[in-house]
Amino acid sequence: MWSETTATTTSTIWTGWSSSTNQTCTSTSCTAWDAWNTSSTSVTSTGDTVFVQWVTDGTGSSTSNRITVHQSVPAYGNWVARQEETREQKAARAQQQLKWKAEQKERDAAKQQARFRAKKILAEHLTGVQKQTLEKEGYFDVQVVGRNFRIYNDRYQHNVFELDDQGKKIREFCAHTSHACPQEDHSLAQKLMLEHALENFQEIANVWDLKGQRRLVSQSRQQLVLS
Amino acid sequence: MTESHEWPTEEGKISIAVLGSSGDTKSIWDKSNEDEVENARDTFDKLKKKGYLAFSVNKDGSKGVQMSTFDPDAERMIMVPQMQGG
Repeated sequence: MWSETTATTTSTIWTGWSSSTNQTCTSTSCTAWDAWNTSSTSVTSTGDTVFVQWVTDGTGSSTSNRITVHQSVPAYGNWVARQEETREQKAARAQQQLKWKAEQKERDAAKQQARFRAKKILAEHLTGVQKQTLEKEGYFDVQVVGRNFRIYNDRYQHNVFELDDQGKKIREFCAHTSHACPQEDHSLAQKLMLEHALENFQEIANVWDLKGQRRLVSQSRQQLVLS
Repeated sequence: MTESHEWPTEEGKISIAVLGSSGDTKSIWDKSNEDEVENARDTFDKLKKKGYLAFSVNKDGSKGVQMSTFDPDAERMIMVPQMQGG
């Protein structure tokens, strides 16, 4: 057990500690160890190699109560080497890894299924032209009360644009559902919002005026215009 | 009520497709059964309370309408998780 001791300088702390544990000790750290070891096993060494030897051999030599250390040993490396797994531990770890792999495989399969369903329901709500551009270009256009919008199906955010008569992007909208939804569900949600709840969509979305390179904060935030 | 990933092929059904992390899940009720209609209404209302947006869509994929209240005569409904500005 450790005993409390008080010392005013580093060199005297060992002396203080030794006194409180009834060790005979001089005032330098090396001899303090010697003194301590006399009552159990004895170590003679210079400063830091004492610890190395202690770590390497546990309580010291099994044949002698006095050890002389002359070389430095990578104590941590030895300690790690001593922590070798047992056969049972290895088997348990291998089993756990197999379990994790199987779970990952299940998650991947579920994700693929979700994506498949999402693609299907999106396709059910697209016209022939929309399906074509989606397949070839990765987007589809939506016409709403005389305005043209383009939805890109390759990202959750910043993927809705308003186009002018020449097909040039004039505004960018950013509004999205949960990222947990597959991409195509997300695009379908945006399409439904544009077609049936345009005002609501504009209220929710952050909007960028691409002509003036300005960010127009959503309507729900009082149509503030930031430069 | 039955759950499926396909729209029902028979007439006289109420179906709600809820978009979510596993793709859409469709809940299907029998329109001629009052209890089932009430269950469908209950599901609709619960999702609306959670912030879902409801759209009635047509079988041919053509435009439907946004719904604020449950309509037992709607052929197909899609419920979309709440959106937020990005």
